[in-house]
Amino acid sequence: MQLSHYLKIYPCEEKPGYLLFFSTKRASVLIIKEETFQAIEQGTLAPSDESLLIKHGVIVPDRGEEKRDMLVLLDKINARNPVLNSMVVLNLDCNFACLYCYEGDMKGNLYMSDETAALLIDLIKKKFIGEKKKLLIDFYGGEPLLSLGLIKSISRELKAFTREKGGSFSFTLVTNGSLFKGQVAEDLVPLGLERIKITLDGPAEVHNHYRPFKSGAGSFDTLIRNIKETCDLVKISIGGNFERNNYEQFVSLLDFLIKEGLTPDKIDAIKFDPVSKRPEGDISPADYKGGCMSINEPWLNHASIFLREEILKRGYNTPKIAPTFCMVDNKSSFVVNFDGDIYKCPAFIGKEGFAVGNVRNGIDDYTRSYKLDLWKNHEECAECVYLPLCFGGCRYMTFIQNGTIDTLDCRKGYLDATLETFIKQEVKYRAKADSR
Amino acid sequence: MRLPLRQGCAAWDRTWPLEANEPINVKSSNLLLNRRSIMKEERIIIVDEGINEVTPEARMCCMGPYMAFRG
Repeated sequence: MQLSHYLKIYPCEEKPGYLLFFSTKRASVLIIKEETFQAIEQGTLAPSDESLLIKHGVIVPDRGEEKRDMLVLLDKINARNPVLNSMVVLNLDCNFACLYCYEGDMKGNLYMSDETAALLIDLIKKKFIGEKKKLLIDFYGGEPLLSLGLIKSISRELKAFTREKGGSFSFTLVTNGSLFKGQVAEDLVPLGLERIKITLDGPAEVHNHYRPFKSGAGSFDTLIRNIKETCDLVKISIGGNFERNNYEQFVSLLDFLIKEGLTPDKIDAIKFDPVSKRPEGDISPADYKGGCMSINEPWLNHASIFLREEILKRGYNTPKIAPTFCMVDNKSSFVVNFDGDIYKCPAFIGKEGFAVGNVRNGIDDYTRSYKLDLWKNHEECAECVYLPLCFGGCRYMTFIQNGTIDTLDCRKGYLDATLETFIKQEVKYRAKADSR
Repeated sequence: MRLPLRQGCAAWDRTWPLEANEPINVKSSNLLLNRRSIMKEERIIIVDEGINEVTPEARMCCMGPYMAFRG
């Protein structure tokens, strides 16, 4: 037996004589006695320990074979994926005027027509075959709730269809939250609404600056009122987009949520992310020039660690560090724009060369346009311990930087700087939470 | 399949397959960290069992607005 290639070993200050192990392949976290670690290296591990460590991805029969398996992991997942996932951009309209709006100059009075919706449903029905057991739709915009009627009609039809096929159907909303009233939640949950994501960009004064209504009025109070009204009806995740000069203020938002009774038992998860810069040539509503171009910008190390700590410290859930499966690499996932054009990632909607088909004619081959498997051509990726957490990184990040996706978005620097602390946060806060 | 985040008390008492006559010395629980005083000799502590495999639903972009909370 050998130590897995996809293993990070850190000192364990809390427990002298022990080491902290994190498997980037299995997302397992173990604390192992130093003598046991030596036994691994010396090949004198007790059989019971050996089976336990194999189970959690710490040791493997052959490290070379493990690396070769990693090269085909995404293919294996695709081959047995029981989930069909479509993100549906119902419109490119919005009642907000966010400073950094990601859709920027694409926005307008642009809505999916009933005809396009019918073609979308037909396409999904054609693709929900064979091993597919679960259909998952993410309604997105613009503001998806400006197309409430379409959400209801699409989900009603797909729910009935999947039931006939013996499968399951659910959907999510990525919404600004301003229209998500109690009655809306009560109407949508029976149709399959599973969870929603609402964005709060920090405390009221910060949020209202970045995410006002089109009228210029602040939206914060409306969102808090709506979250309170609906958090017992549906799982609500809170996101937030921060900048270098305001991320520390997000702590006040967390305290405010608790003060308002939106405690960890009421909120499904919280995660804050940096505002990403717009690609060269795109226009944002307020000619916004901020945002970050890479996860490797050094200030993000501290910001990510700091915000994660503050979230976990207060008992809120936040996504764990685990292997990712980008929707571009997922052969059973696609994004349908309001006009019926199909993309592999919502970040590329409207970008020339990134449409991969349309609801009328189906999906074309996108191996070249989305540079699938680019990381496989890079020896450093094949050797990298972080490969399962990254698989070449985010294509959109490289697009922002270079205007193409010909290069990788390597995250080694970021993970070198942050992962140890992230894992120690897991040990510190999740373990405590579990002991309650 | 993604394992549940919180194992609760069931994990506290779980022991892993052991060889005959071997002392029960390996337990899986997040709780162990907080009960160091009574579990001083454990060789391996499972803080998080992780995942059995990467699932298609484990999608989570780490930047931008497109992140979906799944898994």
